[in-house]
Amino acid sequence: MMHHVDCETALRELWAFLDEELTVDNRAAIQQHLEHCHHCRPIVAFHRAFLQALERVGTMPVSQSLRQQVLDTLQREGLQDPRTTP
Amino acid sequence: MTAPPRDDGAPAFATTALPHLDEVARFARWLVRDSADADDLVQETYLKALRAWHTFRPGSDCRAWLFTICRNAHISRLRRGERVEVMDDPDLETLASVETFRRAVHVGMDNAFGSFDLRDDIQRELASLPDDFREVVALVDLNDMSYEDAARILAIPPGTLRSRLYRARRILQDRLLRHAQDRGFGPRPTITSERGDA
Repeated sequence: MMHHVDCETALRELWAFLDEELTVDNRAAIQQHLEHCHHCRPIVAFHRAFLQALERVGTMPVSQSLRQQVLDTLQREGLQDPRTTP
Repeated sequence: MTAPPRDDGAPAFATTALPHLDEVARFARWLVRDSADADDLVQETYLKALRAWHTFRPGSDCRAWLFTICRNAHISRLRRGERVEVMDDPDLETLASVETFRRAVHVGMDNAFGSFDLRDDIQRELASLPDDFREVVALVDLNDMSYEDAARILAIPPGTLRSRLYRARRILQDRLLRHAQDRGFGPRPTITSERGDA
């Protein structure tokens, strides 16, 4: 368990913190550190903005033609058309 | 070959696997640089999944199951070049990315990611990453997958996943900042660190 978090510890866990990969206790300890640390907060904000920029790319829509190609392939394989399946 | 009939109350393929088509397609797009090849990979993934549907355990993570099939199909198609091995400590890699922030501050670009539309640059730089780096970003950052699930799909230890992911992000950050500066959003670049950029 992380009781006291200094800047180095917080920054070492920076990515895991932003990815929500830490335990509840460790996440809370780092969150508490960030609330008071003017040094670490802009660093976290910088990396969070980067991840959000990546996320925007990840939500690009997939073409309708690809969807239709996959459905056609699966139906040739014996899959019932999901649009007509009750 | 026809998909085996399911008479045990298991969820139907169409209602369980097909809703993940967008995510599988995006994942494939980042695994394969050529978009036509990526579409072929998606079709192959779904065909293999349908044929193997009887092995899917109802209630388990269908998206992760599809991603595993997709990645295995990709590997079996590909004559892979030498893979990038990242041996560094992921903690050190994280601290190195803090240095990227400091360089960004130094050139007045610390708000770049939140201020500019970098989608085209991100797509281009993602496509140019080595395979090992691109696939971890595709899983964790573009498909919001946990470290554990992504490591399982890629069949690598969690520590290796973290090292690759953090290294890939740092490479992308450095390159994107440079692009932003090249567009006149800041002074000329002084960012030079791409250690491990194969």
